Order: sequence, then C-alpha cells, then structure tokens
Amino acid sequence: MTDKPITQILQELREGERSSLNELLPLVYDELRRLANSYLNRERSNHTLQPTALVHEAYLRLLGQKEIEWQNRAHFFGVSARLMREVLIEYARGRNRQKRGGEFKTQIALDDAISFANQSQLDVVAVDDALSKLENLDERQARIVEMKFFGGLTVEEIGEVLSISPATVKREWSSAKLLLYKMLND
Amino acid sequence: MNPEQWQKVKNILENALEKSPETRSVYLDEVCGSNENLRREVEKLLEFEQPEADLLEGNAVSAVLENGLVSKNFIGKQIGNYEIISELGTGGMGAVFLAERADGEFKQKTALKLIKRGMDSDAVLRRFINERQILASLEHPNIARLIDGGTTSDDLPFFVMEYVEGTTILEFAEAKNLNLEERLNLFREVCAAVSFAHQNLVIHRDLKPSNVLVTNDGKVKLLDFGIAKLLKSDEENQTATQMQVFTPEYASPEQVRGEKLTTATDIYSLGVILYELLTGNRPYKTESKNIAEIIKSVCETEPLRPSSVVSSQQSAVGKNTKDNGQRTTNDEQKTNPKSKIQNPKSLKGDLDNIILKALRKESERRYSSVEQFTEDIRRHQIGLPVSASKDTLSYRVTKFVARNRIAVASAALVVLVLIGGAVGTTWQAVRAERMRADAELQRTRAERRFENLRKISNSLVSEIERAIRDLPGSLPARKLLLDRAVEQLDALAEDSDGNSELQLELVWAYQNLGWMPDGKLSERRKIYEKAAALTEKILAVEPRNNKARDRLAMIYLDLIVISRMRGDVEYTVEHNQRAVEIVEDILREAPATPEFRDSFWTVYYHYALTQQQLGKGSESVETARKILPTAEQMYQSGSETDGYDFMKPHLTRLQIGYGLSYAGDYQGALKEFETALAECQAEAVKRPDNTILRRNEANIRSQIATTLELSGDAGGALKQIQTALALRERMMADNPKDLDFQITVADSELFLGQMLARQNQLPTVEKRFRRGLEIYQKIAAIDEDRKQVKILAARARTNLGNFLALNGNLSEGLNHLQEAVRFYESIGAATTIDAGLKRHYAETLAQLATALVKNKKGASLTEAAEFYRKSLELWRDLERHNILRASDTAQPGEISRRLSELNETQK
Repeated sequence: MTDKPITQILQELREGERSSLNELLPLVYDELRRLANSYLNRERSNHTLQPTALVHEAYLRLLGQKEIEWQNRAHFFGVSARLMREVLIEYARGRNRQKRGGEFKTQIALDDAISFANQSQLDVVAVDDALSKLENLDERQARIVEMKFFGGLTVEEIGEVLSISPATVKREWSSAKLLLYKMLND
Repeated sequence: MNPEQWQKVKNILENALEKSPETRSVYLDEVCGSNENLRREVEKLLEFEQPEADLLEGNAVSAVLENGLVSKNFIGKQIGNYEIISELGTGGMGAVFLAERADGEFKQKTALKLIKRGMDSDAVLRRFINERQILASLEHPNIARLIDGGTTSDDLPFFVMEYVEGTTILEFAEAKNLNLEERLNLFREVCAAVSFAHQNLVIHRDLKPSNVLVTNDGKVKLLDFGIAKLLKSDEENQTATQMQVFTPEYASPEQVRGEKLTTATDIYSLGVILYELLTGNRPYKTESKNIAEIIKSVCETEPLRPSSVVSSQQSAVGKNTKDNGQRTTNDEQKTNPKSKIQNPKSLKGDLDNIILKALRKESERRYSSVEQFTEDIRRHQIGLPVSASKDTLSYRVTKFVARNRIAVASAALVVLVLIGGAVGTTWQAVRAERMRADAELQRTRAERRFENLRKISNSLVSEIERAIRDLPGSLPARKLLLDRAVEQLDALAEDSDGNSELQLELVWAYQNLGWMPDGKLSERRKIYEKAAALTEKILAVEPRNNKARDRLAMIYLDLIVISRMRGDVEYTVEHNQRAVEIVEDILREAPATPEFRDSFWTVYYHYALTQQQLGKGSESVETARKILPTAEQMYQSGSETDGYDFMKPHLTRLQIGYGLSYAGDYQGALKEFETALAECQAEAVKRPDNTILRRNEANIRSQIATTLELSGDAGGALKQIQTALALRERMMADNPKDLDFQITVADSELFLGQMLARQNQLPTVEKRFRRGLEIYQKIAAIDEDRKQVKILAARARTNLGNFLALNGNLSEGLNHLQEAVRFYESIGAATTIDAGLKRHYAETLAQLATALVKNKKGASLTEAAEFYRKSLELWRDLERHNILRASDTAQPGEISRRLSELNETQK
C-alpha cells in the first residue's frame, strides 16, 4: 500500500504517469467494495442506490472530504467506473451462486399494476458479458458504457474523462445500446 | 462481427438514428446499396431503438438489487403474521400473494403485496409508517382495507390488504349486460368511495378498471387506495427506469408530467373509467411505450365526445354487417363486445359534457370534487340541468369552496410528502452537514436548505391548516399532520437560537396544534403554555418585537378558550385583561398598523364574552359595539380565503344582541340577531362546507329562541330552538370527534326541554333532559379537566330533578337536585365571580327547597327554609353587584315570598 496522498497520485496520473494508476486502484477498489457491500446488504439506511453516490462517497472519503479540481475528479470517476463494475459483478455472481437450486423462477402474468417502465429484469452479469464482447469491437465505446451504466457518470463527466465532446459520447452511447440490447436478446 | 465491420455498422446506425423514420429508409437505401447483409444488420439493431423498458438507461446498482425478489419462493412461507398460500401475480414492483393470518385466530383471506428490492424499500417503508394511520382509518364498505404492513426478515416491505374476489368494473358491466342507467349507478358507487377517501385526505393516484372490482353480488370494491403514493420514488431520484407509479392510460396530464397531484387527478381517472364504461373505448390511445409520446397524447390530444365514439362504432358495425350482406337491426348491434350503450343519443349532451369536464387537461377546470361529479350524473339521471356545459366561457369562476377542496387535496399531498419524506431526510441531512461545518461551501448549502425547509414548514403549517380546519371530518388527519409539523419544527428550533422569526413560526405551529377539539384540555393547555413560554423567550431578548407581543396576546386568548372549558373564570378574566393590555400597548405605539386590527377585534370580542360571563351585560354590549366598525371594515377588505374575516360582523352582532338580551332590551337584541343571521346565512351560501358558519347559525338561532321566549313569543322560540338543534345534530354527526358539537347538542336539548316544560308540552321533556345529562356526563368522563361540562351536567340534573319532582317522581327528583347542590357547593359556586354559575346555583337551591316542601316531611321543611335562604342570599348578591340578568329581576322577591310562606306554614 502506498503512502502517497491521493491527490498526488491523481496529479501524477493526470500527467501521464501510468504507474500511478496501479497505486490508486487497490485503494479505490477496497473503499468502493466496502461501500457497495454495505449498500447492497442494506446495512445502510440511506436509500440512495446510485453508483455515482457510491463513487462520490468513496472519493470524498479517500480525499478526506476536500474539494479538488474537476480534472482530477474526472479521472477518478473514470477509474471508479471500472471498479464499480467489478464490485457489482462480483456481488451479482456471488448471489446467483447462492441462489442456485432451481426452485424458483415463477413467471406469471405481469401484474398490470404500477410499473410500465420497468417490467422486466436486467441481468447485470449478462450485461457484463456483452460489454466484454463490445470491448473487443470498440474499446472506447465499451468504456463509455462502463462509465455510464456501471459508474453512473453523466454524459458530460464521461466526455471529460475521455476528452471528447458530450455529443460524441451520446452518439457512441446510442449505437452501443442497440448492440448491447441485441446481444442480450440473442 | 469484427471491429472493422462494427465501425461501419456503427457509423450507419448513428446516422440513421438521427434521421426521422421517413427519411431513414431513403438513407439506408443510399448507404447500403446492394449490400443486403449490411442493411439487415443495421435494421436488426434499429429494432431495439425503443425497447419495452430502456433498462440500460438505468444503473447497475438498481439492477443488481432488483434481481433479489424473483428468485425467491415464498409459497408456504410466512411473512409477518401471514402465511403465503399462492401467488396472485408478479409485476414490476413486486409480487402479490394470497395469504392467511398464520396465528390462526381468524382465517381471513388477504392479499399480500411484497415490494421487491430496488423499489427504494426504506423510503417505501418510511412512507408506509407515516401514512398507515390514515390509510388504516380509511374504513368504507367499498374500499378494500389496508390491514397491515411491515418488512420481511430480509427487509422487503410488504402490505397486507383485504382480499377481494371479483371482476373489474368493465368486465362486470359486460357480463351482466348492464344498461346505461345501471352503469351510471355502479359508477356513482365508485365515486362515493373515492369521495370518502378524499374527505380523509387520501388520493388514490392510480384509479383504473383493474383497481375497481365488483364482487359477484354486485358490490364495488376499490383496491390499492393510497398505495401508489407509498411506492412513489422521491423526486430527486427520478430516472428513466425508476418506477413510474401510475398507469398511462388512466393517468392525468399533471400526473404524466410528474407534477403535484390533487384530488383532481382521481377525478380525471374516474372520467376515463366512465368514458370506457359507457363507450367501450378509452379517450385516446396510448399504445406507445415511449414516455414522451405518452405524455404528449395525454396532455395534448383532446378526447372525442363519447357519443361520437359510440356512433362511429355503430356505423363501423353497420358497415361490416352490410359488407357481409346482412341486415342491421338493433339486436345485432350487440356485435360490439365492448359496450352495450349503443344509442349515441343517450350520451349526447349532458353525459358528453359531464365526462369531458372530468377529463379537462387543466385540473382546475375539472369538477372540483367527486361529489360534484357524481351529483351532475345524478341530476342527469333524474332530468335536472347539470353544471357541466360545453361552453367554456360559461364555466363559473371557481368558488372558494372549490379552491378550498383542491387546497385540501394538495395539502394532504404536500404534507405527507414533505413531512414524511423530504423534511425528515432533509433535516437530517442538514444536521449532518452542519456538523461538518468546517467546509464553507457545505455551510452555505446547509443554510440554504435550512431556509427552504423553514419556508416549507411555515407554509405547511399555515396554509394547509387553513385549508382543512373547517372541513367536516378532517380532525384525525389534521392532528396527524400538525403533530408531525411540530415535531419537525421542534427539531428546527433546537438550532434556532436568536432566530426570532423561526421561533415565531414554531409558536404558530403550537397554536395550531392546540386547536384540537377532541384533545385533552391539559394537553392543549400544555401546548399553549409552551407557545407562550417560547414567545416570552423572544420578548426577553426583543421586548419591542410587536409580532411577538401580538402573538402572546393571541396565545392568552387560546388559553382563555381552554380556561372557559375548565370553568376557571379568574384565569379567564386575568388573561383576557392581559391580552387587552398588550394589544392596547401595541396600538398606542403603532396605531395605524392594519395587521393588528385582527388582534384588536379578537381580543375585545373575547372581552365582551368575558364581561357577559361576569354578568356585565351593558358593558359587554359597549365592548362589542366598539369593535363592530372594525369587523365590518375587515369584512370589506378581507380576502375571501384569509382568516375568519367573513364571520366577524355576524359574530360581533351576536355578541351585541346577547348583551342586550341579558340587559333586557329584547327588541334591540332581536334586531341584532336577525341581521347576524342574515349575514351568516349569506356567507354559508358562499361556503357550504364551512362547519363554523353552521355552528354560528345554530348559536344565533339559539339566542333568538331565548330572547323570543323572554319577549313572550313562545311559539317562535320553539321553532328557532328546534332548527338550532337540528343543525347541531347534523354537525355532531359530521364531526364525531369534536366534543364541542356534542355539547351544543346537549345544550339545545336542555333548552328545548325547559321550553317545552314551560309550555306544558311534557311528553319528550324528561327524555331530553336525560339525553343532555348523558352527553355532558360522557364528555366529563373523557376529560376530567372539563369542569365547565360538569357544571352543565349539574344544570341538566337540576332541570331533570325539578321536572321529576314536579311530575310525580319526587324521590328521584330530590336525589338529582341534592346531587346538583352538592356539586355546586364543592366547586364554591356561592363565591364565584361567574354570574351565570351563581345564578344557576341560586336556581337549584330554590328548586330543591320547593321539592322538599312538596315532600312535606318535618325535617325537610326546615331544610327547605335553609335552602331558600341560601338561594335568596345569592340572588340578592347578584342584585347588589348589579349583575342580575334582566329576566331574573323578579327572582329575589319571589324567593323571599316563598320563604316567608314556608315560615308561615311551619308556624
């Protein structure tokens, strides 16, 4: 574990010091996992389920709650999205293992009550698999999906991380989504 | 696909997405040319442009959490006290099970709704806890009751509801082949249930045929009342995939836009249901899953007139049958399976207008209440003109009551959302943030939120309170709301040192909370004293803060209201004088300030009442006359919705008349009463829902009755008191928890009994006295601090005892009279400054003496003489202090005569 302050690591990272990433990742990962688990296991009473909130919180903790400049934060978010994805997939797989036994899956007609926007379930592990395939086709596009879906970043934030315009992010996202839906449907 | 292929496809795809559907295929023709594979690939992907649920727009955390529920098998397991029998269905929000109570006490079938993870279960639960009291109190034969709720061992929220076996209202109407009349009747039953809920400040928010069931025996049952509210996402968390708790086909424009909801949203949904029930169609189609399109069609598409829908169906049916070479007859029109209402003429006109009025896009232009909606249908059914009309220009300006009702609805909503959710959490957030006060940014943000919260709490307490305080039957909800408000303000006040404005708002909230007609006097008094202490604290720092001084005076008046019920005249006099002094002080310093006019009027109005209580009739008249110009001025300039300005003139006149009558000027009194009555009735026409106006009318009539009787018109008096009694009975029925209404009924019974006895119409007298006594005793038992009601009970006992003694039941009569005398002695009625109390004691003593004389036993005659003497002393005392009621001037002489008569016979 490194003794360097996080801000310094981020600063180096920004200046192109790739090795700094390796120092940062374990720190962020541990923090994120700890936070995510406490949310997912409902240990926390806060009802915020947004990954951004997790990422923000991890970030604030690691920085001792000091405001730092946006550019660094963008980098941090970019890194966090990847970690967030890992944490969540780890969690989802773990639960699927636990639940294996085949006694469930009652698919009965949908109650027409209440929901129209969210009638089906999204299998996060399947999204992860599809995203891995996308990585082989277009890495930058896959990063965009990762940051948006797993990291909960906004289009603007993603643009900052990748140094591209929000319009480009949107464009990339729109086509990636179609491909992913198709993959999930196959 | 390899990366190069994807780049190509991607490029085309992104360009295609930016084109309109019309130009898209031209574009694809162009770029793909003869490359069929490429084109197929692109088109295949474009099929996913509008997925049923755009789940990827959500986020992974929610998706992970939401996977929790489906994978569980609950059948045969126990949730809370309920055993799961079978699954009734699953849906986006969770699953519904048939369940039975597992503790075996009674096997009641219930529907148990389990909310899955991702429905923000903490917030759902918190809202449930906040609202359960209100929802559980929603007991109506046509509303499926919410029985229970809680969380499972792994924290999933669940609700238990009455299980209803039935079909939807549409299916029922089809299956039973109901005609127009029957459908309208059925629909009005639905309305009655919704209206009941609205009066209890609950909005359904998700009315649709599948929530409106009809059991086999034809009984309407509404499901899921208030549930949509519990499941609603907090506003700040709205994202595309989060639960939209409504059904687009039945949702109102304000609902799809995510705006604040009022009872008008239910009226709208009822309109859609009626439309469908009568025509077989919905007002417009919302097949798209695209939220923007749904919003557009709900908000912009004008629905077709129901009659035109039926007639176009008819012509379509006709056309089809003709094409088939068959004749069309009336019988064959049944071929339309959706509706039996086949005569468009029956819908044309009224029903078209009624339905379209309920479906207006602007909520304020719909029916302002469900009752009005259903009343229009009823009027149509019996051939009366209806309020709904095609001409929007003739649409009447929304009346006060209408506005009030909408305010009520939004009040319920705002309060429950804010208090239950936002205020609580925001407040915690504010505190948490304040604790980390080192960061300047956070501090300013916290302060801004604090400020917002304060505004919310403020408007919540005053506006909402004003909107609901006079509606019939709103007490339980009101208490709940105000309790919470004060809790929240208490928390705010902790950090409010030196913020006198905020402290005054807290004081205001306490004052509102103190006004609870069903509350214990000691509790109410404590609340007011808390308010007074807080105000005094402000004044210790800012002694010239006129707002605080004014407030203190008003709190004293609140305390006087309590002390009157406690029968504590000394306290009343002292605090009334203090309040008068404060207001005079303020006026001396700021004579022209209009905002203190209200205080000026109120303080002297109370003072007039107090003077009356002390027996100072003429002084009371003088005081009341002094504030009459103010009352009228305020009535002229007062806004309709604000305060009680519209009552001030008639209340003032009532008081003037009261004093005049006490002092013996019956004609003058009657003139005042009649003006007051006319004024009160005119206001009541404008505000048919206002309970206080009805109460005032009864009070005025009661005073007219007293005065008419004193001036010799016994018949007229009888009529007035009977009207007053009827009014009071109705108010009592409408407000079962308001003890004051019960007291007024008892008062009227007593008065009517006395009057009938004096007119020698004896049959119902005893019954009336007994009923009065019973009511007083019941209330006295509820709250021992209500000494005034014990005094009233003693008065009822006197009346009953005297009546029985004079009408053949001497022994019971004597018992009552003796009991009354013992009571008066115990409270020191001989030395009270309360003229009325002293007068009644004197009367009771004389009546007991008379009864004892009738008893004719030696010892009792001596006793009788003693009681006459005591009575005479009291009358003389009243006379000496010049506080004898004009109608009693003969009393001292009369008692003195009886006493000497008795002394004669004893000799």
